[in-house]
Amino acid sequence: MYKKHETLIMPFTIVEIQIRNELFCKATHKRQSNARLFPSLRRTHPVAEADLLKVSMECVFGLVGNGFALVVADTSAVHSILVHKSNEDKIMVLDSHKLIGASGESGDRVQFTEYIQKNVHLYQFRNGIPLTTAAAANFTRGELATALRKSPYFVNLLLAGYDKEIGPSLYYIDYIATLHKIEKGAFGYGSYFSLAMMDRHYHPGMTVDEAIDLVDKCIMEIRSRLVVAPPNFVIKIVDKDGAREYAWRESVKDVSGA
Amino acid sequence: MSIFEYNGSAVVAMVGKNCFALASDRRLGVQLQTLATDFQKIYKIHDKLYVGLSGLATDAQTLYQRLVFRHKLYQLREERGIKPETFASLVSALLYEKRFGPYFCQPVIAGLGEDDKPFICTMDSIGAKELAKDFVVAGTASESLYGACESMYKPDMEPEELFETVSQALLASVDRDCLSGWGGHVFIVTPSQVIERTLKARMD
Repeated sequence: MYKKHETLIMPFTIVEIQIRNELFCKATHKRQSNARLFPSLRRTHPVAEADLLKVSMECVFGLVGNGFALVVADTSAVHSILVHKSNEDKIMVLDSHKLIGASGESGDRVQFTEYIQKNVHLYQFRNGIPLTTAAAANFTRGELATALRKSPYFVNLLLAGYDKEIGPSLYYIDYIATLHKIEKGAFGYGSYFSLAMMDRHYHPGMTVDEAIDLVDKCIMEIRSRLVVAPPNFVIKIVDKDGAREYAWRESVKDVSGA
Repeated sequence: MSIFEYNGSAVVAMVGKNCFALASDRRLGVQLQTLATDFQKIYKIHDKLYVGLSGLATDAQTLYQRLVFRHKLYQLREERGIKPETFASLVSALLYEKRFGPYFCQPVIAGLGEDDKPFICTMDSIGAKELAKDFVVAGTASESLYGACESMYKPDMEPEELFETVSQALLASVDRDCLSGWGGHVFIVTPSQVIERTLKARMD
């Protein structure tokens, strides 16, 4: 079902498929005996079947600083070996003080983030007050979790927001609906590099300038060490003054001119 | 790689003299990548009842939300907190409801029942209860936890000794497991007080 996500490029993809096949052949844990009795069920169950090693080639990461949170995303629209677009904005402004950086299958990504955005707006229109960042994160998780056992959306999300009483916050939500509040986080192949850079250089209460320096370090590391590195990135920030685009980091101009 | 080992976890409950301990690690990972080291796996149901949820983190979160919901309904109807034995049956029923598409969680339930008698129990992902008088374990470090608990446990420990024992067992076990660790979280529950402590461990 998810074969189309497996990349052609990284050599260890072959190992991934082997591991995945083992998942269906060999029950190593005694608690799995029920699944072993019903191998057919195991194959059709959406979660059991979900490719556990789905790592997208996209790079989305974010961090929380002093009075702000930021999200960075690559801007490449890739299908298989083709780059369709290099200025695709993958960070949506949810409402005045929320950002949602998304990676994953592009159709799911657009559909799901728009769905969340519209519902966050609907809540605000009905009740006259916006959802807090935590509330929006929990709503998003709920929607992903319900979809998970029906027809899952393959989207990984970083939700950044600013609340008056709470300050800036960042939430990690992956496609199987694991929710966690974090200070720094990343998705995709870029995460191997950006997480390492952030572990080394991040400290709580960073200024915007320090944070942007760190973001540039991450991007530089991705560009120099990742075979499938995307050329362009967008950086968005949310603070007390609202959510906005902060800067682009482009090494290739988009040819389509869209 | 089993789906139970996707996020990594270690949960252990131990019985002492009129008290119990429930401990877990704090790692949240995606396979070998560590995402966070402050993930909560032990949840409070009421003052004398706690549940540790090991296994797939997303299902643990969903399951916890459903358990809180069901416990609130129970409280409204009965005007009291739920007994640990009853709660274990509730968890078991919720899990078996999803017999053919389970929550990939192995819960550990620990509470003080009538006369403050400690009760501990674990179950598999489809709700088969496993009761014990001494200790129960769950998660990716369960094999090593069995060994550590087997050699360190003795009956009728006082709260502080129980804390030391359960902490040492947890720390010893998670160091032999790649998928769990990064600190620990320990609850010691006695009839009069709850001690909650976080442990620093090998942070690698």
